[in-house]
Parts: sequence; structure tokens; C-alpha cells
Amino acid sequence: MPNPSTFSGNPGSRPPTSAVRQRSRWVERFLDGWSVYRKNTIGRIGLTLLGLFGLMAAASYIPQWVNPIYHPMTGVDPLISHSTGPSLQHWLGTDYIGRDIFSQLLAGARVAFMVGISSALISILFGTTIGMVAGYAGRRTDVVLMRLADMIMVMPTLLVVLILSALFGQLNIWVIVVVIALFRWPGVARVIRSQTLSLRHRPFIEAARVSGASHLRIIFRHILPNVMPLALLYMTFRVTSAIIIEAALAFLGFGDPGTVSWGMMLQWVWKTGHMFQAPYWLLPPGICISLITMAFYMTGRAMDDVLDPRLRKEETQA
Amino acid sequence: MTTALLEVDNLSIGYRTTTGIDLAVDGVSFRVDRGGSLGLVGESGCGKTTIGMGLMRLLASNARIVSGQVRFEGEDLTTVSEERMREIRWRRISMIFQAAMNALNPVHRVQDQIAEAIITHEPGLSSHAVAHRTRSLFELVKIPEDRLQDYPHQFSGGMRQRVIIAMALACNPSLIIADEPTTALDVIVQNQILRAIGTFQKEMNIGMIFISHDLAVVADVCTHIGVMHAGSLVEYGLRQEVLDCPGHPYTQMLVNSLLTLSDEPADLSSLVGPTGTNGPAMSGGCPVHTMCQNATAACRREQADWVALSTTHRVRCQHAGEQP
Amino acid sequence: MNTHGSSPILSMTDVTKTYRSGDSLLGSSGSRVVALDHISLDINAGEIFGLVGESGSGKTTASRLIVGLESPDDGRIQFDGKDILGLKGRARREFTKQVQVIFQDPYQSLNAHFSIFDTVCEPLVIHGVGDRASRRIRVCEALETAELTPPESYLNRYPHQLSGGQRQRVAIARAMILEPRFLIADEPTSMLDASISFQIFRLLHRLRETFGVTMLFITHSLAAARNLCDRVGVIYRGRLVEQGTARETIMHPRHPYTKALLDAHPRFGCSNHHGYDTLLDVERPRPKNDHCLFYPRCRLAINNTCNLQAPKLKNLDAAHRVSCFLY
Repeated sequence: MPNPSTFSGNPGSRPPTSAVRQRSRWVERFLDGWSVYRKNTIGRIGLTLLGLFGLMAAASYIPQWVNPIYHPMTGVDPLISHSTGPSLQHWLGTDYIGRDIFSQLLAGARVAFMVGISSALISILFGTTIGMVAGYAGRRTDVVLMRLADMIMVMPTLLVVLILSALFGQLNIWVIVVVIALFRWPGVARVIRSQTLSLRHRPFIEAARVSGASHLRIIFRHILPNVMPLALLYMTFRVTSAIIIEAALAFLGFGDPGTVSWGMMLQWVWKTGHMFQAPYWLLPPGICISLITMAFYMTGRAMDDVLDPRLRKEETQA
Repeated sequence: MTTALLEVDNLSIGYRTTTGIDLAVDGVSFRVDRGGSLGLVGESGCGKTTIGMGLMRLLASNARIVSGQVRFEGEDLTTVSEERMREIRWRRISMIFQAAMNALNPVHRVQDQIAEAIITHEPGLSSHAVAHRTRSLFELVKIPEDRLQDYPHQFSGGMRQRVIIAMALACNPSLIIADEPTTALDVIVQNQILRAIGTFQKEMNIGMIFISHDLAVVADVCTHIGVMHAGSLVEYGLRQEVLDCPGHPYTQMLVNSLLTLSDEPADLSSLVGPTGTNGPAMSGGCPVHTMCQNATAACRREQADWVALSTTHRVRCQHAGEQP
Repeated sequence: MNTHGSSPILSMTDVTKTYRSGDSLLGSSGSRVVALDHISLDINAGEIFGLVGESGSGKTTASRLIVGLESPDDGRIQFDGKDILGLKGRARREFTKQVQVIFQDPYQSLNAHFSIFDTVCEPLVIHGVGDRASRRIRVCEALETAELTPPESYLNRYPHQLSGGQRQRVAIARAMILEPRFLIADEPTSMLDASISFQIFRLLHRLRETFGVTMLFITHSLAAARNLCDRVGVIYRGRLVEQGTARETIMHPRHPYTKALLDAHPRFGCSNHHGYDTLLDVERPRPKNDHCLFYPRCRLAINNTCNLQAPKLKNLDAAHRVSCFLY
């Protein structure tokens, strides 16, 4: 359990000079990885797509600022009372009550990033911590944590969320984010655990133990930096699955009614019977969902290459 | 003097990098006679393994022979066709790799693996002749005949390395390149393997290049010693000459750091051994000038030419022979 | 610096450690591998004790048991007269300040994410010694002790920027920074080139001369043990077969196994090469019952003795002990 000396060694209490040094090492590693990453075509496509979606998310505030009728949720074109096709006024047309589809699409990008990244962050945080603890502690702790992970892993996420929202009524978007995260950590935990197992008996960990380092210190100062790249890789895959789950929930009508997500847009198309009448309304959110998940996935694949030790420049040869 | 089995003349091998070509082997020349053995000694990364791979033309895809000649039995191995090279490999020149004992196929009997090596390179041989040759090879490397039917996992590491040696000898090569053949083995087993290598080398009158980082091991098996440092050969001569009066400061350092068994231990605190770190050699300068006490401005400027200390012993140091 | 007769700083009594191979959660169906078999040895304050053996002989297990990376199945380990097995809390931390290890592979024993300063400083941080300024001074001193000069130029570098020899020196600086009384060097040079090994040996020798630190030096090289150690123990398959002063044991060995090791040593530069020839060409089958572990390979084995019971360590004289029925 934490003893005072454990914390005297954490980065927060270190002199500023060492913080700078630490960062320079990370910068070096980043540049190193980037030089491998940029040679990867799939990675470049993925990153370009993500950049485009990022621009969309950033631009989502502009239309409503130009004219309140472009507000994705509350803005209604007073002249239109039904769904119309693309026009100069509404680039992608309007929905059934005259809201601008293009500005909804932009807002959807923002929601997708928000849901994907925050949910992924939470699940990575859980997964990495639990994985490291299970792998390092071993024995009973390991067994208990991993059985728990197995149990959660086999639970159908979608079904559980449906039941939850049936119990508690419409769920807030943040509740959805957290619920998705809680169901998505076991995979990460498994990977991080096996990585930790292979690190646990490496001489530098044993050297730390011989020096009297506490378990917390070994886990967070020695093991964490070594599993971090893998955790980041898994984060990109978690983003993908979080976005898809949120879209599915919203489409099934269990989304947050106060949020314009792409899944929500699809649900509106479906509910108002425009599925096969208004391709200008159906296709943009559908394509966006596919593209953004693909982009995150491609980025992850490329990162996988970067982390592949065979492609990295040999560090052990001095 | 007999004609040389292998003559390497000014061989340079380079690796392509983003900035150009890095020479891993820089203008190395030596010769190996039939029945003779040359030990190449040097620290890891000095290019000794690259020479071995270069002679076999088994270099990594980003490496190539930049210049020089390798004359082997009247042919220049740097220019022969790839097809001819395949014939030469294993039949005329074979190689024993470091930790090769882990390369045996676990699902085949040892006997069959050796037989396969023979058949691959000499397809015309009758099965009876193959079996006979397999048995005599086992005899040579001192593996009891009743173990022919065993699988590799039933063998100890030393025994497996013997099998590898038997495979290397399968086609009666005239030159063997042994790259750290005993590095992963224990002292007793290492000694047995070295003896086995010495025996077959003499009995079959084979030339050998023995690559090792351990001067003591090389001193045990080889008739000639070549000392390498940072890609170049710095000293070359008969074993006794190199060990008794090393001419190059780097060789002196290696010889001095050999720990020996004697009644009185070496006085570790006073013995003049190597000091300093080997910083990167300046281009053109003598590679060891940073750690050499006799280094002069000339040493920093350019690498010395060969100085002959005797007809068989040459050193690449300007100061060689100045002091006894 | 011979300290015979002084009380041992570390003593192992009947220490046994077995590993189970092929262990599963459902039960221990796998076979047992004996790593250490009733090992007893005393290491006196101020000496360098060499533990010589081949790979798999259990010599590394001994060091892991001493520092508590693993615990023995049986036996007692005492440091300074106090039992160290099952030490907890403050006592354990006090012990870790006094006993440090230099690991075999300097490419593996340093954390790639730690700068040299952080690596060497970590023991001070763990034990809460000093403040920022004094730590920096102590790190520099430790680096200087390990002959990394000027120390300031190393502080901000990372392991991958150093050569193998430099990394091993960093490991030594880290081990020495708390000024331990006992240092375990576990084959510290097996990954290094010959000339670098020599420098490391000389450094270890100096550490003993300067700081009086007691050392357990684990090695497979008789030459290294001969030149560095005061006393040696030869270990074969988990049992101590011979023990004595380095000079007696290595230059005048008694046990057939020690003789075989000496025979196998490269002949270059060895003033007196004996040619003991104690190894059989073809090994005998291993007896089912208790036996001398070297019996299957031993040319000198006595029938109906060596294959029926295990020999015990016998005192030949005050310092020299051997476990063989020939004596």
C-alpha cells in the first residue's frame, strides 16, 4: 500500500529540469515513431480523414453563428415545413421540420469525437490500470480480475444499455459514454496484462525490486511507460467501437434526445419514414459513421506498425 | 609455400543507409591455406561476421560488396553467378553459425536431416552411400551411432551443435567458416566442440575461418590470427607471433585483458589494461587513436599502412616495431 | 585482505529451492527441477566470494534467494546474524539498503525510459535519502566511483545512448549509491567484450579495496574467479562440490568436476596445465536412487559407492572442502 516514499518519486514533485528531460525523451520517441508512421499509406489516409472530421467538428459552431436558423437542434427554417433536397440555402437539404442537415452533420462530427474519445479514454484508464495490477500482482488478484473481465466481455453491451434506458428512461449522452466505457475495458485489460506479465520478470523491474521499490512505484513508474504505447494503440480501436455503439443506440431510439449525433439523424430519417425517399438525408450521416470508424481503425493499424519492434530502429545496439 | 585455398584481397562491404554507404568491412586482406585456420577476433560490431557472410555471399539485402576480390580455388567469388555460388555454398564452403543448434527441425530424426543435407547437394548418391557417409560423419564428431535415430530435443545443446558440424561437413567442403560456434555453450562442452573441430580440420585437411570475440578460444584452435577493429584488420600473423609480440595497441590491449590461470592472480589494480572509452573514430584516422598512449598527430590524421614485422606478421600501426 | 576467522556477513544453511515445470492451475503434475540442493556457505565480511558453475547450475538462483526475488523451499539465510527470510516493512527496507545486485545483462537491467540520473538516483528516492541538491551530488559521486567521467555529461543521457560497458557501469553506480555492505555481481561481464570485461573486473576489485564492500561474484569463468576472488565455491547441478581459497581450489582442484572445468579452460597462458582427464567419453546412465550427481560423467567414480549415495562436503583442511568419495 502507498507509503510516503512512493510519492516522493512521482513526476509531480520532481524538479522542473527533470520534467523537461522526461519530455524530451517522449518527443524523441514520438519523432521516432512518426518517421515510421508517415511511410505508411493506410496511416496517412486515416490521419487525413481524421483531420477532415476534426475540421468539421471545429466548424460546427459556424452555421448557427451565421444565422440562428442553422442551429442543428433548435434552428428551423421558417419557410420550410417538410424535408427538402439540397439547395443554395441548405447545402444538404433540410429534415422533416426544416432543420439544416449540413449543420446537423457538422454537429454530429463533434459529438462523435466527444463520445468516441472520452469513452475510449475512460475504458483505457480502467483497462490499463486493471491489466497492470492483474499482471503484476498475479495469483488470486489476477484470477479474480480476469474472471470479472471475462464476464463483462461476454455481456452484450447493446442489450444491457437498452435495459438500462428502459429502467431509467432516456439516458444523458455522458451516461452513455460512461456505460460504453465500462463495457469496453476488458479487452484492453487483457492485452495490457499479458504485456505486464512479460515485463514483470525483466531485469530492470527486478533491479527496482532489489532497490526496495514499492509495488505502486514499479507499476506506475516502470511498467506504465512501457505499456503506454500499446494502450494508446488500443485507444484508437476503442474509439471506433464507442462511436458505433452510440450510433446504434441513437438509431434504436435510446440516444440522448438533446444531442444531434449521426445515429440520431438516422433515427429521425427512419422514424419519419424518409428512409427511401430522402437519400440526401440518409446517406451523409451513414457515410460519415463508416468513414470516421474506418479512419480511426486505419490510424490504429498504422500505429500497430510503428509499435512493431521489428520495424523500429534497434535500440539495444549502441 | 602452398597455393592459398582462399585469398581475400582488399575486401570492403558496406551497408546502405539513408545518408549513403557505411563501410562495415574496410579493405580487408588475408589468406587461408588448405589445412590452415585463421581466427578472426574482434569486438561485437567490428565487422567479423559481415566478412563471413560476405564470403558466402549471404549478405543482408541492404549490404553489398563494395570492392575487393575473393579468390577461392581459382574463382573470384565476388563475380561468379548466383547459380555457381549456390553450387559452391555447402559443397565447397560451408558455415557453422552461432547457436545453429536451435535451427534443427524438431520433427525430423537427426539422421534424416543430415541425409537430406547430403542428398540436396549431391543428388546422384545412392541411399546406401548416404547412410554410410552419415555414419562416418557421426563418428567424426563423436556422436554414438545408436543416437542416429533420435530427435533433436533428445540431444543436449552440445550434441546438437555437433550435429550441425556434421551437416557442415556433409559434402566434404574445402573451407569452413565457423561464426562463434561455441558462444552459447558451457565451458566443458565448448572445449569438446573445439577439439572436434580441430580433429576434423586436421584429418580432412580443410581450411577454416574461425570467427570469435574470444581471443583465448581462437588461440586454442587457429594457426593464424587476424585482429579486427572497427571494420579493418589491424594485425595479422601466425598465432605465436600475434600472442607473444602483439604489434598493434589494440591487440596488446586484447592480450593484456586475457585473464589467465596462474599461481598468482594478476594484480588487477596495477596491471596496465585498456582504459578510456572507444569514441567514434574520426574518418581517416587510426581507429584506436583515442585510447592509444602513443598516438601522435599523424595517427589522428590517417590510418597507418601495413608494417611488416616478419614475413608472416604484419601490423597496421605506425609505431609498430619501435619498441620491443 | 584475507579475513578468515571473522564472522560471516552472509550465511546460507541447507538452502533448497525447486522449481516445478509444467505447472498448471489444476495441480502440480509437472516434474520438479532442483535448482539448489541443500547449499550451505558462509561469506566473510570484506571478501570476494566466487560462485562458479555452468549455466543451469543454480548459481543465479542463489543470488535471487539472497535478495528476496524468490524464496527458498527450505533452509535459512542470515545476513549479519539475522534471518532475512520473511523480512517485512522497515526491516526489509533496511536490508535492501545494504544488499545490492549487479545483473548480468546491462541491456536489460536499465529501464529505457529512465535517464541515467533517474536510474542512479532511484534508490535514493525510494529510501527517501537527501534532498534534490544532495541527491545530484551523490549521483555524480556514484558515477565517478563507477569511472564514468565527467559524471555531469552522463546525467541527461539515456541507456540506449551508451555502450554495453558504460551501461554496466551505470548499473554499478546505481548499486553503489546507497553504499551497501554486500554486493552481488551476477555474471556482470558475460554480455561484454573481453577488453571491457577486464575493465569491469578491475572496477569491482577497486570497489572492494576502496569501500570494503563484500562481494558475491557469480561466474562461469574460472579465470575470472581466480583473478578476482579470495574464495570460491564450485556448484554443479545445484550442489556445492568444492569450496576453498581461490588459489587452492582452482590451481589444485580435488573434485573431478572442478578438474574437468580446468581441463576445458582455454590453454592459452595457463602456466600449469594438468590434463586431469576426469570426464568419461560416453556418459553412464543416471542411477535411480540417490547418487553423486557427477557420477554419470566421472571417470574416477567408485562403483557401488558413487552410484548409491550422495557424498557430503568434507573438510580437507581448515579452508578447503570437497564433496567426493575419493577423499
